[in-house]
Amino acid sequence: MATVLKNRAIAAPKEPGEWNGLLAGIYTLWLKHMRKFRSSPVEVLFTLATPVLWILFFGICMTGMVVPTQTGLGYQAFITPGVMLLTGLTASILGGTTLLLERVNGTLKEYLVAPIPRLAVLLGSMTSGLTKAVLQAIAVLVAGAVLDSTLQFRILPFLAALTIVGVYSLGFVGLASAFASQAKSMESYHSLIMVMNLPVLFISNALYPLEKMPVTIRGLAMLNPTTYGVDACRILLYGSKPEIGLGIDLVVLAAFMVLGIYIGYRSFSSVMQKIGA
Amino acid sequence: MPLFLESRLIVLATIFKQNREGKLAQGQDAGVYAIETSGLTKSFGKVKAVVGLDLKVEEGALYALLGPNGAGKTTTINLLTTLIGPDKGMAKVAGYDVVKQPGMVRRSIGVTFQEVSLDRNLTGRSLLDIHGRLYQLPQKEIKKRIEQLVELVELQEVLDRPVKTYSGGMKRRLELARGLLTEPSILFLDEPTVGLDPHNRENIWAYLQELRSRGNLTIMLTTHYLDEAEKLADKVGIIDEGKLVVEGSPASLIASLGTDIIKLTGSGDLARFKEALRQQEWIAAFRVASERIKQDGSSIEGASAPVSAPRGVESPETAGKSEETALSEAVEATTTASDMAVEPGGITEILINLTSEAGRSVKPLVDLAEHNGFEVADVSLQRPTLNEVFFKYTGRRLRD
Ligand SMILES: Nc1ncnc2c1ncn2[C@@H]1O[C@H](COP(=O)(O)OP(=O)(O)OP(=O)(O)O)[C@@H](O)[C@H]1O
Ligand SMILES: [Mg+2]
Repeated sequence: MATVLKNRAIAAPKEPGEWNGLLAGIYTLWLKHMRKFRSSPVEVLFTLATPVLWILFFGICMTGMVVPTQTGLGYQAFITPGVMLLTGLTASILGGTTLLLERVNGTLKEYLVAPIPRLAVLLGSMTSGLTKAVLQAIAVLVAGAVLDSTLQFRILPFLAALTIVGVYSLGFVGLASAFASQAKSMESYHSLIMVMNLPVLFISNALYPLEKMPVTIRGLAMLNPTTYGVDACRILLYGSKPEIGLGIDLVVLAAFMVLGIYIGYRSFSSVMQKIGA
Repeated sequence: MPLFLESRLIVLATIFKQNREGKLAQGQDAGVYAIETSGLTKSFGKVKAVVGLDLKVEEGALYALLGPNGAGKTTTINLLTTLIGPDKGMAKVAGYDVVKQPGMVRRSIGVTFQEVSLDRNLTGRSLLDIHGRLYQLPQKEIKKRIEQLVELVELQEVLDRPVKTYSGGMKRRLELARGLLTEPSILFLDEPTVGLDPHNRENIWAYLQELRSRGNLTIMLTTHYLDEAEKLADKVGIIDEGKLVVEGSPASLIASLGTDIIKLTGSGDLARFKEALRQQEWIAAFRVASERIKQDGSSIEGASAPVSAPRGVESPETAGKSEETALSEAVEATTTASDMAVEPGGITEILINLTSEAGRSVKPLVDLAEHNGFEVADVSLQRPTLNEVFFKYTGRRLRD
């Protein structure tokens, strides 16, 4: 019996109408999360304010202190991709919070007794998290283009950079879902996230170039997906000289995305298994 | 039913006009039962929440699941609604197996949980809309049903306000509306009336009764309000420690407790009167419930068992024995206690279980008392309720 249940955890749809249920479920959850997002302007403002403040103050003030790097960018332009990815990260974390909150306040039960597969709950949360990430990245791009003359409005590079943010964010949406599925409380979720958040920004090439880092930190930075996302965005948006190379960036980011989603899926389904559902 | 409900309940006729019969028959091997379990078992680590539960609920019935805190009621509902999976055993809901065809089960049921499970930041309307979408109902249909249901549960005014501004009663009613939105053939309600004022509680019961009379709706609910279960359930099942201890219609369960009970209050020669009581065939059992001994005008509560009701069988240890033996044991116990305490002029309460109907026995009983030197001050009749059934089968220990 135990093994039967294990295989059943969140397996592919078998009963009639389950594929429809999957799509309807994902869409409905996405819609619900977007409605909530829209109806809480504070959440929108906060997540947008952070990156804009970064570009405005950190970017402008540091400009006087930094020597030009081999990327050939002004400092403000230099940090814009990193800030954009940071917004993606924040949005991913918020996506995890949504899942956790619904778990804690009992809304999750409503989904679990509805005729939608378990998988729809996870994918719905992930999709809404991703949407928030991309929306906010767009806002940063626009702010960046307004504040900095070296960034020009061009459709293709913008779309390419947004795709990078999307892939990067999905990886973190997966990880955040994994934490959110297991976390005992909001507090434990947030302390975990705080621990993860800062190194992801600082141990990367988002704020300083790889060449200026001590060798050990550079080694760590090479393990951080942010480094690859930043490199790719700089190349795509500014045509700057690569630190790593677009090809490697794309491969690493795609691998990170798959890994993140997989971990999220495993974590979520192990929780579902625990209740034997 | 209150008159003012009448008009709104007509709305229900339209909501539930479509024929439910046949819905259940679509189940693979359609049985007669809306809910059927055998040997259903679920543990959480060492805690055995549900142990080998066998239930059968007929189509169209209102089944009340009763039991003390931690008895396993919510776990049972969670298993039947496919929220969690069983360790062992089988359960069929609407003819579908909860493990093999959870999707079909979910399409047939509506659920409200014990704890409020509403998203506080959505409006009532949005919340119902999302629920309808989860069940893949067409938009037009969702809109129509929201209008009708909201009128039913009287939430028109607050429908577009965020749920966090609702009172507890409003939230409960919204949850009920949500459970009904998908027109389920089986409705599971985990303590639907907890925390409601009497007006709201009565309304909800009236809605449920009306819903049942319109369509072939089966309802399984849990409640701690035994008077409600007694009044409205076709069948109650009392569970304790994960096991079904007794099941039946409220009337039959109460009847099984024996006949009516007469409470005599008075004073006099207790020993002689008790001896006389023992001789009578028409007295099944009796128990000295309490004695208040007057001393210098002050009154002291007697040292014996509590006054109220026929709780001769109180502890689980005696639950298996017949009413009579348990009562006579209680008699022995109180006799020893009272023999030491009784002083002339004390006022005594005696609970007497009759073998025949109480109305005809009052006079003979009073005569018997007076002939045996016991002066009767007051006579009162106590009919057993579901409360007594509950205590008889579950004991009175504190749970959790
Ligand atoms: N998720 C869980 N993890 C561990 N133990 C649980 C869990 N859910 C229930 N239990 C245990 O299972 C037993 C039955 O609980 P259940 O909630 O079914 O009781 P109940 O009859 O609904 O009680 P109440 O009247 O208080 O709602 C209890 O001992 C409870 O502690
Ligand atoms: Mg409960």
